[in-house]
Amino acid sequence: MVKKGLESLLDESLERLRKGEKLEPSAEELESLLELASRIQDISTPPTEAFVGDLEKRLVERARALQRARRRSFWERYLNSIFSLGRVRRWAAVLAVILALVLASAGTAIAAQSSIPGDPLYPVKKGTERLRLLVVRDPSRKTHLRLEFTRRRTEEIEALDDRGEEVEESILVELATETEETLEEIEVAPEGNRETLFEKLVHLTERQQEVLQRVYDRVPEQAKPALETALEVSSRSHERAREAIQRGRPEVPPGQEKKEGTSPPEDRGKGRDRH
Amino acid sequence: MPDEERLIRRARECDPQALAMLYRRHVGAIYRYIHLRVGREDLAEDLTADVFLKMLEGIESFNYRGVPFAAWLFRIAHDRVVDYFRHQARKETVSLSERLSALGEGPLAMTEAALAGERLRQAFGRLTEEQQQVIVLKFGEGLTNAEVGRLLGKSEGAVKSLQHRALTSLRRFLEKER
Repeated sequence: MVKKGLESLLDESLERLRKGEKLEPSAEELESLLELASRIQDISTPPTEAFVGDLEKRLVERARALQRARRRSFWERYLNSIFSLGRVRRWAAVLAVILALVLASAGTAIAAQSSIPGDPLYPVKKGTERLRLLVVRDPSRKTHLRLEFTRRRTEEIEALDDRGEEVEESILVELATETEETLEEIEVAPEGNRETLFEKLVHLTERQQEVLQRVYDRVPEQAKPALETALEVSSRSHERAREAIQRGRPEVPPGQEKKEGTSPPEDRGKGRDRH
Repeated sequence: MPDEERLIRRARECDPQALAMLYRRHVGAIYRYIHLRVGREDLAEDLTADVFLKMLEGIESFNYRGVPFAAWLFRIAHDRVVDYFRHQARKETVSLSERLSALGEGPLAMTEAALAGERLRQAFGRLTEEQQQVIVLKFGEGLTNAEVGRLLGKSEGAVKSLQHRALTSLRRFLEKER
């Protein structure tokens, strides 16, 4: 009973102190506990805002990298189910020849390349793309291919919308994944090609955002989150590509622009003044 | 806490926004807890960063119906602090006076204050995990009994009782040290 009484008294006193009220002198035991509580308050320091902000940035970046890795592992699993990855390089050339023979027959190849999701030949188109990415070893060519395939995904969405067909969630997820992977490949591409690749990505993501905004109201409700993610990825990739282009160009000191102004005005700030 | 449950569900999908919100909600308490245990700002920052990076790695397997999220984070922080002390003990044995002299040569009053603070930290480290959590949330974060209870999945009465036991134990440990 005595313990219960002190417990409540202590709690009431602490609550009054928390609210900034003054306490009357009380029992010695209670006072010593209150003093202890106050000493703990004194040595308990909060984290600095700078630290909290920096760690938040690190966490968010790590979360995005994890998200990307998960998406990528999904594709790897998918590819693994089609081919045995260990043997892929050995058999890639053989498969390419076989596939080339198949595609060479009549208009299969042409028809497949212009197919869109839902068409019977669309899996052939996607299969060819995956195979091309696996076979190509030159990183620069691979990055160009990724850009090309991402452009195709954008055009496919546009074509589906033109035909009045539904844009499904999986297509939007694929678009976001491919855009992100393209950006990552460009970021590690050899320096000589990087700026051109970034400029292409800036144009492509601009187009992507136009298309995605256009179809926004017509995608099914369950596909809306995927569309928003695709828009977010596209806009982020666009910004990062623009920033990278700007970083790669030397700063012109203020007042010296005219001395160097030999290029036509429309060329100046190309890739920088968009948006 | 249905709002937190929703956030956790999104965080398990590695949604950066949800993770950032959970982090902002708990970083103060976790940092204060670690700082109270180790007493150094740089070290507390490093260990706090470890805790939240571990949260990111482990959140996929976090079961909301088990322990409350805050208690789960405190557990990670506790394990990290224990690891740190274990590692330090293996590396070198640093006496209390050596640690205090490393704080700098200030006036006597400063050294005495540092000594008292260090003793309090050591006594705090001897409390049970639940008592430490309540102390941090109540006196560090300034939460009410009801708020602490919600975070740790306890009744207000249990929080009140833990708070009282924590303070009396602290006083006992400090008296023994004298």
